[in-house]
Amino acid sequence: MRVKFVQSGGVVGAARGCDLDSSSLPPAEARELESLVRSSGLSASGEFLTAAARDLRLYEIHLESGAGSVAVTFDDHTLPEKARPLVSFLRRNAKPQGRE
Amino acid sequence: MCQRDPIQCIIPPYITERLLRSDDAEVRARAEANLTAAANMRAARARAQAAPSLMAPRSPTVGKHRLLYDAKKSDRLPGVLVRSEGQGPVADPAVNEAFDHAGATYDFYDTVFKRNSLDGDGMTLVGTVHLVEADGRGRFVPLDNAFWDGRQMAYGDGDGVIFRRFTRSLDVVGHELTHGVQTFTSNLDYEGQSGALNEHFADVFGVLVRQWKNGERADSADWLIGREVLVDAPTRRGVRDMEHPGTAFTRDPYLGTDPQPAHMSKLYEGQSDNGGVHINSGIPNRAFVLAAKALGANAWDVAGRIWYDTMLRLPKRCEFHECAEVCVQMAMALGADAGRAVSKAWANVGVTAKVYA
Ligand SMILES: [Zn+2]
Repeated sequence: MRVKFVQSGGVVGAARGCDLDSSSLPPAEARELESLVRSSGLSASGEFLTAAARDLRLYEIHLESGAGSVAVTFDDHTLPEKARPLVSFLRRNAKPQGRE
Repeated sequence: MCQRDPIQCIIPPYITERLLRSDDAEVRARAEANLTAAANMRAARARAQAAPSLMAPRSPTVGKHRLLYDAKKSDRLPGVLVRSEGQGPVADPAVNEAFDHAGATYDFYDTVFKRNSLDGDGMTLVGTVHLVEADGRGRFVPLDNAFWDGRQMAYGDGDGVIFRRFTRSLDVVGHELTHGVQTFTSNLDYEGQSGALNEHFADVFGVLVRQWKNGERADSADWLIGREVLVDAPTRRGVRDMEHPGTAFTRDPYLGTDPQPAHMSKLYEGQSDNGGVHINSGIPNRAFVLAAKALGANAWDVAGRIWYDTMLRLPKRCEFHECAEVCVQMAMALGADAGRAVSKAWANVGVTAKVYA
């Protein structure tokens, strides 16, 4: 299973992200990631944004597995409760994105 | 493509446009159906965006009226009321900073532009401090952000490692409140170049509130946004540098390197950040600083006036060159020299205003 993640926006606007492949992670981390993906309930692609808000952070999550791929974008206010533990995990693994 | 709440689901228009040109009749038919759905969705969004004006609490005095709430380290807005207009300082510095900076922003718009609050009609300024975020496991973590939710401002305390209290910075508070002003005026679409202009105007009036409050003249003013929200480190000076976009932080272990372009030739064309709204704002930001320095005196008196008049006149969907054209027209109303200076400032960042092309 492969999980690509980008956090962008917020008033600060600095992007962070990671690209994780469970086959190359230590076994315990791979199990945790797969379990968090399963319990996140993310099964359909889409963009879910709060129209009236400004400076919320955005979370792009791209899941690829044998079952297919799912690409979702949420903001701080639309991120489902069930997906928050996954986003916390991905944030801990994220590094600055963009220009060196 | 979108299977949840249609109001919050945005099909990027360029994708629909591409599908409409498809050779495949079925794809075209689906794209047309999408357009109809999108039109319905836009109508719903328009209603949602009109809601703040209907729900805006009006000041009882029709003048400056602030209400400050404390989320008490929860993720619920607005929280508990802790300071109202007319009450003196409290023990909590975050409350006093948010209160004072909202007051300075109100006074700035009132004095410089004769604008009575965000809606121009004495709307109460509502803010919440000590907001945190849930990690989904019943725990709360510090919020490294400040935002405008469509009705009120909200401020996190920062993690104490990279970020400090977001209320510390007058230009950040002015930035958030200017998102509020825009909600009631141009309401620029929050994606692509329109969104970058929305961010740009928030930075312009955020920085001008501070320069006005501190009496900083354009030639010697500080153009950094959010200096006070960062824990000091040699790799970061602020969250944005309006004069030199792309230099606010460099190889920072957490923030990385400032992604803002200073010229159209470096326009960000990716998907993140609603199509780079906090990234591409660097281009108009630099145009503003160049114009403000060329026009001289206090940036809020001349350049600020031109940019304020421009902000009120832009359509919801607007590209940089369209903004530049309105901006040059507003400047020309002050004289040919001002028009030329503003046109040159935009040209310097690679944006041509047709009025002078
Ligand atoms: Zn903003």
